[in-house]
Amino acid sequence: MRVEREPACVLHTRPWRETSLLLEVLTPGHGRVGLIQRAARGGRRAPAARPFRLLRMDWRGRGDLPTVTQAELLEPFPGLTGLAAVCGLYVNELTLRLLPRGLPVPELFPVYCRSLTELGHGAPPDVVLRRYELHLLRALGYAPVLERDARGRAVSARGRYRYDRERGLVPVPAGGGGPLISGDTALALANGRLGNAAQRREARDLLRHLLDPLLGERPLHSRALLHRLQAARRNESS
Amino acid sequence: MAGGGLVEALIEAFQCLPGVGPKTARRMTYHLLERDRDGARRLARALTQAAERVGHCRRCRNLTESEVCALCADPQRDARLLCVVESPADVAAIAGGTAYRGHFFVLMGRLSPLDGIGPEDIGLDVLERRLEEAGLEEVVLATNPTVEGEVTAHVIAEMSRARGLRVTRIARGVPVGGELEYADASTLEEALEARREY
Repeated sequence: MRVEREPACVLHTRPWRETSLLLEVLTPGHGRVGLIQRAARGGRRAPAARPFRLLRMDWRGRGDLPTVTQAELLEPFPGLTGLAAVCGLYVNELTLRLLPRGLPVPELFPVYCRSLTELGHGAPPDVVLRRYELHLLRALGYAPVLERDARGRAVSARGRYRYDRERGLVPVPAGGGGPLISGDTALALANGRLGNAAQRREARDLLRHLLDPLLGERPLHSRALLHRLQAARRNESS
Repeated sequence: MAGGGLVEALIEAFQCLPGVGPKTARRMTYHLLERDRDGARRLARALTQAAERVGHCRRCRNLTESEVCALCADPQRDARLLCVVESPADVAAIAGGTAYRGHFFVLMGRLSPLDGIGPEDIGLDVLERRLEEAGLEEVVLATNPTVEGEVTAHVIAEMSRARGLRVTRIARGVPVGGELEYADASTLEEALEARREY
């Protein structure tokens, strides 16, 4: 197989042998792809293919690990340092864990790029991360229905619901398991307009409820790191 | 292993070194056995002793056979400064090649959530205790300018600031003696951003 001039973002790199790199990249047309880049390490210059940059890549080869024949920087996502970088790694880890190789994601790719750009520009990380989680679920075919309840009625902004994985939004007090979510939050999440802290908390709980069964037992290390940083910050301010 | 003798075993053993393939291993083996038996004995002794006795310094985690390494025990070094680096090679580079006279802390790696390397794996619990020691004023972050190095620097910066310590990060930019046209775009961008009065 031969692919040319495909936009790609590096999710992760790992050293391979003496001078090569194993890359996991996200592309619109080929989804997540594992690649091998030869002679990418050990020189004086940093490899072009590293996380948080939009590249244009050519690769060719059969099997699981085609070889990169060209990697050209289109633009870096600037400002991804500190907390923004940890959030960026969370986006990468989530993508790596949940997205199978080879599933084209033409709609998720621009959301990925936009998420990194916004994180770099200091947008509230939780809003950016919730939107990305929602789009990732959508790409995987697990998107929650947020504008209609379990019986097909329009969600009311003033209503209270529980989110049941099988049925969707079930009005309270009809009951069932799952996290509580206000109609207001469900609609804000659907429209990409999460507002106050309560909405962000409810959206986080809902998305975690949907993501966790897909992630399984193995913890997300970047999520643990984010929690650690948040806890440290709370200790400091209290 | 062809023949399976001692010579082949030595050739095989050399290949655990980075950058050493079968050919180089063979050359090293023949050199030692034909021309430098004494060197071979010295090498064997040094390897055995180091492998048996070298551990990590209790204060900075650098490699040493003592409980506290020579750098940490040196009273001439400035106890107000602590430079945090990823590897013993970084200590050697900074201690040997610069005017830095403070102390070090060696992480022996960097945070890499996607490889499952977390805070405990790089000794942040040991660092936490080190940050509490009296007399320390400034933490110099000298982790590599990679994504993982940046994330590691950020976490250590938060830990240090929470204890009221001054936090600095080594500068980034164009290498001395380098040429601008060969520097990559993001390095140049950072160099321009961090420009100084001249």
